[in-house]
Amino acid sequence: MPISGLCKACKEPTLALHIVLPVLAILLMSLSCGGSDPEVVLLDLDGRSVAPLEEMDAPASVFIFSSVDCPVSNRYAPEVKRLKAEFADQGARFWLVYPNPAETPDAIRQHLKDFGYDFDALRDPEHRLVDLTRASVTPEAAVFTSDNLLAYRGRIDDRQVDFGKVRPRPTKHDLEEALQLVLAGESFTPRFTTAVGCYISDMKR
Amino acid sequence: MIYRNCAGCHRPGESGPFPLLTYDDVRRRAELVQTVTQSRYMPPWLPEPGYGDFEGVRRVSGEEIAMIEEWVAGGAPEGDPADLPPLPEWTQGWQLGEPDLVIRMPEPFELPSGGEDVFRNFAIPIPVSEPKYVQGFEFRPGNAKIVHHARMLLDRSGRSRQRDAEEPGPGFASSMFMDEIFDPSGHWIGWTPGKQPVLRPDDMAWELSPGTDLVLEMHMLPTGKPERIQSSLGLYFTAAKPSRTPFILRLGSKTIDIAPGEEHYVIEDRYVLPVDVEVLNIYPHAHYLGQQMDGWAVLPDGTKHPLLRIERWDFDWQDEYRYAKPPVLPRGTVIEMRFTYDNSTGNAENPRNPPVRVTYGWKTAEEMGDLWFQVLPRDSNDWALLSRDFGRKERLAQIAGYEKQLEIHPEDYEKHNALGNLYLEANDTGKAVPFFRRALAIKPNYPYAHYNLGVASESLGKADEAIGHYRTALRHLPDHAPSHNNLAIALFARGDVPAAMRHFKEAVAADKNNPEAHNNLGIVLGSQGDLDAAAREFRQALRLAPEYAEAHNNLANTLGAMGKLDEAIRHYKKALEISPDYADARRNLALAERARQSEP
Repeated sequence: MPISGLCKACKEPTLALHIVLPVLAILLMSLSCGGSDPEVVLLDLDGRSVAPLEEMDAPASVFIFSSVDCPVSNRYAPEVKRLKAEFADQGARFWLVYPNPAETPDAIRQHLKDFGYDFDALRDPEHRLVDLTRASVTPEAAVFTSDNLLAYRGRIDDRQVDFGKVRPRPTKHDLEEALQLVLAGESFTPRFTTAVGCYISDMKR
Repeated sequence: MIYRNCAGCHRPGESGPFPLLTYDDVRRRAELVQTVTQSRYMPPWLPEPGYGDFEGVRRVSGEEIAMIEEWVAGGAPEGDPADLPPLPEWTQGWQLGEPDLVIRMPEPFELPSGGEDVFRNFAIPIPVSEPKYVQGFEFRPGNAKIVHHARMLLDRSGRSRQRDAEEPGPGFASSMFMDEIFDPSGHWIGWTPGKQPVLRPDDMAWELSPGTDLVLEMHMLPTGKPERIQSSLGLYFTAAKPSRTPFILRLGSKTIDIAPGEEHYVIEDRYVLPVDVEVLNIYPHAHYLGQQMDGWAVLPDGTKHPLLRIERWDFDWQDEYRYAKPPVLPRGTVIEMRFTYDNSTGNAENPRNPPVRVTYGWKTAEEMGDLWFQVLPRDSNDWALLSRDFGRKERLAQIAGYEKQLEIHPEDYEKHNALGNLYLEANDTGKAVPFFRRALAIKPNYPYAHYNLGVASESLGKADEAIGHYRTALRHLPDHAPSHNNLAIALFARGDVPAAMRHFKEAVAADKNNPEAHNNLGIVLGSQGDLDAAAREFRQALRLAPEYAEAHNNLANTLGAMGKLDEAIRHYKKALEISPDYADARRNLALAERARQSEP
């Protein structure tokens, strides 16, 4: 059952959602939105405004919050590229989002080149998407459905347990699982996990 | 505070992933700075305060952490920029100045962009043609961001080069055996980010012999993009021959065997010091299952003196710790250690999920439990006594370790051979031989077991069998210098001089930096009357090892036979200076002096 009726700018997705029944969850989320729906406008590397959530026609849109000099997010580059290679064919659209205001378009272009990212990159210096998804660190992922519903926000996987504490291999591939669910169009509840990484700078909350 | 504790690494070109040099650098990461200082992930420093007083402590105080917290809570204000102290001036390049010798990886290693951490060894020849006394070292990672830690060992066996050549690309992944590599006598060479190089007192240098290879073990972290690394080691020499040599003691277990799911596995060990020592350094080591570590001393009067505590071991930040004021431990002191391990899924860093049985080994998925102490005995007599006494304990520990390993890996011929070798060292030839035979039963052409059987046969008086084993070893490993050498000695003893000469020459060709090989060849050449050639070999032996008393005596004998009595007398005297109890040299010197007096 595809989910509909949820506003995309849900400010306060509560962590309790996934333990209640899906229908109730939808109801709760709808109520918690309060109807406000600010347009999420980000910048591309040439400074043009982009409203990725308005443009979306893909069955899944994946935003990876990234930073040019965060060692944790950088180390995820191969995994992020792997996920794109695997899910782009199935229609998922991938974006890299650079939320730290101090990271310039030139630094980001160099970063894309250094790490071999063949991704569309956006800047979010105003933290529009950060606020909407309530992302807090890099790397962190947010997945939206074709109806602009936030289906997942959190870690890519559970490899990074804490600062300086890294599993040799992940045991849980959270982002991959979320993508599989969204692309299967199955009934699901939004999921949120805690990501470990470098805090997004100049957080306003 | 940031300049003092963070900026040394968090600046361009150093190991920190981003700079922390300006107000804005820190403000943008204020919460991160707060989190990692509170959890004590940064600055990286494992020892708990109050358990040993160390040099180079990288630890922020509780007050400093509280100050950061308050600053962040207050919105990370800048304050008056005029109050900002000047940026520290860092020495560019070599911190200790231009080294006397720089050893560099011959070619760069390419680290892949992703995947698990990479552990790799690199064999690098050290180009010295005479012994050097090393007073200090400085490691330059070349690409500081990817090196988590580095350890360097020495190899005189040539096995590391062989392994490096066998595996494609620079370096090799296979583990070295502990009888193949060694630390410099009484010292360690290691590097972790932030560690400052130091010159040790010049009377406490370590000797580096020609023909030694450096084995660089590096733990590298993929960064997300392909990386290149070409590291260097700078060595600082002193002309002074060391008058004080530290000794490395080890407490721990080589029989570690942790059941899957075991959350609290404990190892303990103790040793009674047979001499007075000062403890200079302490170096704990375990892999990813290690948790709490304790080391302490119980003095003869019963007082307990803590030497180290680490509450949460972190393999990635392993380091040695140098005491600011070396604890003095009198003879009769008991040094003790206790480490705990967690092999459950609750330990996120467990290399195996679900957990499996983990036993002792050098690989990171295996476990180790060692607490090394660098101690300084009072004099060379005490050093020798400690070496003998501790050597016995260590050999027993190694034997127990290999016996356990063979229960687990009964088909490991290298371990059978290594265990046989330990019994051989303990002069228990009877126990040694069956292990070499078992190694050969598993791998019939294994040259090292044939060589060891040759040594064992000789000590049992079976010269013919020994010759047979050395020949077999050489059939499978034609450049094995020790087999050539021992075969030559056996052939010389039975009077086959031409064959002995041939094998001594082969031994020199295979290990041209081995002073004993040159000395032995000199003896055979001299016995055949080729005095010039013999003298050349003895001189070469002395270039490689100036303190080689026998070579001085042999050169003097040769010079005497050539009529060069003055020079001969000088070398006899040198031999006696090195080794005052050297009876042959004393008798020879007396003869030479009498001959000198009777000269016209």
